Amino acid sequence: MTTSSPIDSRFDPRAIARPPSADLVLIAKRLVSIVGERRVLARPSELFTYTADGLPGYRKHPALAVFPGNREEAVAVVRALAEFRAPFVARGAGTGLSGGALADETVLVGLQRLTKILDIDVDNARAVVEPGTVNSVVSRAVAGHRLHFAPDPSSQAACTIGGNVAENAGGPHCLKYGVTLNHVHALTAILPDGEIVVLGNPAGESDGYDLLGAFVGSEGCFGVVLDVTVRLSPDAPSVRTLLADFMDVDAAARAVSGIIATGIVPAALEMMDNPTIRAVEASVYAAGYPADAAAVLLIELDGLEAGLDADVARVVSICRDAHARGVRVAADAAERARLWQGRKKAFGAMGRVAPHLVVQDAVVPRTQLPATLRAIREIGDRYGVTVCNVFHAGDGNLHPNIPYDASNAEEAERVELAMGEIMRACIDAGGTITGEHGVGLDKLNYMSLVFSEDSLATMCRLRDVFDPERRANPGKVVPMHSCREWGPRAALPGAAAHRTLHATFAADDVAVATTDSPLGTASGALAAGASAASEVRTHAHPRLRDETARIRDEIIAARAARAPVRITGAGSWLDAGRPVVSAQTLAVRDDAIVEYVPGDLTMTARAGASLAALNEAARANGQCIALDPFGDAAGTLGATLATASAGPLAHAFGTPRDNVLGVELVTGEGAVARGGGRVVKNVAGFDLTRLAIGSWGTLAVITEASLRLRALPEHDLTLAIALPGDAHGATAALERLRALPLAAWALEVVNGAVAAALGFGPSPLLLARIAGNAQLVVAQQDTLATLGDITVVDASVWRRLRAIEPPAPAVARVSTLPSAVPALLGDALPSGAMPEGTMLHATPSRGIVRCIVPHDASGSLRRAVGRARRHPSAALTWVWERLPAEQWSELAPSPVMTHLGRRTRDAFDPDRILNRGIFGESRS
Amino acid sequence: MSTARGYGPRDGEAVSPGPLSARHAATAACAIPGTPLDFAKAGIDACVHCGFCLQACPTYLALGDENDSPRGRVLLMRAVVEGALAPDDPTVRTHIDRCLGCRACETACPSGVPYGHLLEATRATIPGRHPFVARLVLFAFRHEWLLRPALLGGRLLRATGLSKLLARLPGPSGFAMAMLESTRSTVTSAAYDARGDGSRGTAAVLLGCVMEGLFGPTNRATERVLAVNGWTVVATPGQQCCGALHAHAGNLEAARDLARINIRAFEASGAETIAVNAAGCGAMMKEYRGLLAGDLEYAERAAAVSDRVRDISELLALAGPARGGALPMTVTYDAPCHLQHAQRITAQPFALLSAIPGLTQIPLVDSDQCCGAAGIYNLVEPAVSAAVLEPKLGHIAQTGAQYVATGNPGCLMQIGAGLRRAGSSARTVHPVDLLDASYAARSTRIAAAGPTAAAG
Repeated sequence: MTTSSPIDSRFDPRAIARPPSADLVLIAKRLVSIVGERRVLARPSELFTYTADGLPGYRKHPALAVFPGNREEAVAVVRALAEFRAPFVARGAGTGLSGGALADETVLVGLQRLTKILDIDVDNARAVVEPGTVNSVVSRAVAGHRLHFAPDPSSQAACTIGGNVAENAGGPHCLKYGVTLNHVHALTAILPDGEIVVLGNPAGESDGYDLLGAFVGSEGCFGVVLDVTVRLSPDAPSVRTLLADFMDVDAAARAVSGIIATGIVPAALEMMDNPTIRAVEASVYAAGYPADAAAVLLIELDGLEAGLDADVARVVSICRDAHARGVRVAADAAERARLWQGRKKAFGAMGRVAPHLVVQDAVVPRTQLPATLRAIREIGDRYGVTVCNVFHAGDGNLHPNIPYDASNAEEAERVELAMGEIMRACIDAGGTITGEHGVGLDKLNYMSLVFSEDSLATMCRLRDVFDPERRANPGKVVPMHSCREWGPRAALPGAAAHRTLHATFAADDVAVATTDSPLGTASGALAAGASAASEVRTHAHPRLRDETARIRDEIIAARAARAPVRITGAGSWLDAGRPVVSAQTLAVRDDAIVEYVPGDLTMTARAGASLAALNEAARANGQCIALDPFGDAAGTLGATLATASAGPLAHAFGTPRDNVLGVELVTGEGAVARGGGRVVKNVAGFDLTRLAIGSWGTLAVITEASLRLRALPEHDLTLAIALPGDAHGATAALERLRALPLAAWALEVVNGAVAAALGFGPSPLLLARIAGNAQLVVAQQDTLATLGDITVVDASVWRRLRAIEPPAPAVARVSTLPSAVPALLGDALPSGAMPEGTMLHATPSRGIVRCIVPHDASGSLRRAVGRARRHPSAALTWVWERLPAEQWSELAPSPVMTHLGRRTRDAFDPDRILNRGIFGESRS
Repeated sequence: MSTARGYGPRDGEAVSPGPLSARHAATAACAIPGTPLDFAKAGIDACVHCGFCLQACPTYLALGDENDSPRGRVLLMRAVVEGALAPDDPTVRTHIDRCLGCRACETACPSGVPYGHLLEATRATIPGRHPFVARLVLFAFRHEWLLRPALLGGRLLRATGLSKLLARLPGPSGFAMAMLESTRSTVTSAAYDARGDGSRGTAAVLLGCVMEGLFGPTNRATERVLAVNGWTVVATPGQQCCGALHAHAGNLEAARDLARINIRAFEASGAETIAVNAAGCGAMMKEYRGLLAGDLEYAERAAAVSDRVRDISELLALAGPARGGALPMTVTYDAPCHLQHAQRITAQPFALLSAIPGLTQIPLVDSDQCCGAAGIYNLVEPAVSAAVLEPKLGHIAQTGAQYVATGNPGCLMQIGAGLRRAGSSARTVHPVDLLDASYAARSTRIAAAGPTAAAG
């Protein structure tokens, strides 16, 4: 697309029109020339199979289906479709539960034949796989190395990695291990216009916008994945699987809340109620669940053997206190597998109850579980429908299923009404509409219950970065009418035509009935109960806080005046990043805690709050925020997120992108938008949260964020372990460290310069933070003692490490594969490629070495970087935090100089009002 | 066990009580009333389209099109029932024909979709003719006067060594000759005294058509090992082909005719147990109950016969079985689909092999996946059959085993032919032949070592 202004290149409603039939013949011929006759289906009878995915209830007829057999064919297919400007839908195994992979008179691109595992790197625990690779096949391929791919949706025996990426799939074990987003290092995708892009960095950190984070969970609307570099997780050394059975659903729900409140994080915490238990027990996957129980909890605890049984004992006693009838621990791996098979096949077993099924995927705050389950039961009783609950209780991710017979219109109507009420009950409880299944087609009309018009329109902006013609999976995720322009800008001329093409969506209020809601689907349910929509509108439109309104107004004014602004919080990061072209500041001051429910382990706070203050509030409840950005204690939440600064705790808890549940932001166009939510699991809408984090204020001002909290451990010990001073010895020690069985909160290696500045001797150290119950801490202490002399030190060392920078330094994060860190550090710690006096500290598990070069030595940086580049260990990626102004252009290429980076910037802040220059861009 | 898999409507499956229980009465009108598929359509309703069956399906894995998967085929069946597709639609025919009928999807299905039954009902419903070769085979298997000379001809070809020569021909005819070649005995056992104490009662052996015609020695071995393990084998004259091939092809009437013949024969034999050494035939006979459920005269008799049917490995595992003499060899086991998925018999064959001292068992990757034989499938869909067989041969090669043990004639011939054509030295063998050889080895050893042992 060559257009004068990026705005003009946005949505062209004609592009979404279905290809006329004459074109279809041409498209089919072209596709046949790429993949061969057998791999293009055009006859309606052959396409019938592809009219549904894993969610029965919707049928959409594709115009064509094409099945490329390898990467080259996939690329050629997408490029051919781009030439014809034909809309298309990518599909994997078709196990999705939101109707997301249905092609409505568009071209279906089936990727199930792209099943190659391209590379397995055991040493760095990662694998590169094609999108059609089945989830469980990946785990099976690396099982011999005691590794696995952690996301384990119940359909894992059939669903594909490409589908997991598209949906940001979860599964029972994401309670402890996170969702797909947390397990993807990088991916290669072909955008709908045919451009091939690499998102993320397969061998380290990546600079610039987190477009990988935005892509994961984009439900096929951003492009087609060609390969994925997945993170593999080591198998837990020890596992305990418990089955607790209850005579009362309420009691089981109370046990769940109780377990979460202790701070013990089970690997999985699942609940099944009686109708579900009976369906499973009647199937080939009968697991031995007690058929007369009102509910069972399937609880898995894993980790190091030390201390595990103490946690098990605590969980058992919580269950007993909640009046569990019995709690049994699986005796062996075979019994464990059987218990899990039953749970994972429960959805499929619903077919035993009735021929049709509606499935929901709402998430509620975990303290709300007992009340929500009561409400669901009451709604089910009132409408005379059977609600089968089988869900991820630990996350508050509910899956109420209602089996019914669609051919019984009266019953179907009751089911719809019940579903609508259930969804509203969940949203009223502070929840969201989908935790892992995705919005797809099914929850499209619920979107406006949880997101404002501006939020939805902002999400459309994000889609337009990747797919300005909106040809990929058209009509999904965001209701069409939301994609019109907002606020100050006039509607596009084509908007009216667009609406007539898709009359399925009412123009002004999606809560009004649609024509596109088959019986027994979520949208239909909403249509049936439209009147109540206004009540829950408050969740989509919380009262705009004065501070947000002020920031919005200032941005609109700055934009009108074409006067760029510099965003500031506490001012502790003003010397970071490239020089900003602005004198005018936009202060983010609001420091309130908006909501903090300790039992949910979540907190929502305003961006102006200092992280230290928030942590203090959490600490008073025995909790903490697992974020430890660099800089002094005054640093704000907003700055932490905008810079994505992450300290030693990232070893165990990841970076800000892994700890933030949702944000409120004001874009460079003055739109107030929200991404994500306040619950711990959420895949509703495109991911504005990941996009904003680490964007250095160039897209939007973050005004509020919801965070995931952690329980403070019983014991929390900081240890310093002396490392050998010579290169060989240090390397060997770090190699040994990689193999040690540890579950530390932080493992940070510091060089002599840092050690000295912290008040230790001049030799390198390993700083370790080990936490947990007494047995776990003692065992790890013993393990670490095998490395060298071990000293217990004051925990304040962490705070001091984060603020260790001397005045006006040059600071870079150098990243590489974890396997390369020992040799790299061994080389650099004692003698080093870096200038004299350079401070180095590293998080080996993440492959990150942070270099702090004193001001007076920064003149020789270029040579030093050159030397380090020649280091034989591995390719190094440099991300600079601070540099003398004149060196930026030389050492750090601008992240917005890439095609996608520039498009992203322009989509959210077209006039480059916010922090102009910080990414090396200018308004040229 | 039989609740979800019978030929009648499913019973007692509804979990939900209350006003919803009347739901089946309200099911939409059927576009093809009165057909076998109409009677079976409750089974279609059990499918919730979850897709868990995809990775279990050999044709889906080989072809990569969901039309060739259980979920896709069930959807095609649904389309026919609902009238969205005509029963004679070529797409329906193609993909239904392409199903192996291995029923691996049934052991993967949480909803208990009775897929094998649906498949047969669909084949019986959709019009159209089988390919000539299929019709010829099915005709022959119904008519002893044609089948006997045909099998005799096969044995002649084999005896003259002509089949060995012709097995080198490219294409399906060469493969067919290689199949014939692989019916040769691959283990030989010396004669031994196969008398037992008869404590387990009487057993009749289903001789079968292919088994008796081409694997006669295996049938004799079956009789011997039964005797050694305590059964008194009684003769069952008048028995015929079990009808499985006809049922799988949708020719349910022919299958019923054969079933009635066999029911009469096995009733007359008076045996308490019916032992079957061909997995496909055993599965069929266990389903006589459902097949003849609508036959007033035969329903109860069919059920009684079905109840007496046991796979040979079930019986032997029940008996222990008696340990034999040492057979120093490496063996890998491939599960016949109709044992693993249709009869859900998984552990018993291993118990049988474990009774043979000196025999090393090597696990086979994906041993629960179909080999592509599927009755006469390899004759009518040779290309797909070969595509399904290919990974199986690769996995067998990985084991490096000398023998592939499997308890079904189709699998013995399909894998055997594949191995021969691939130039492998590995050979297929029926587990019973191995046990029989082991018993023979024991007798020889006792006979040879007897006096010495006494002296020692």
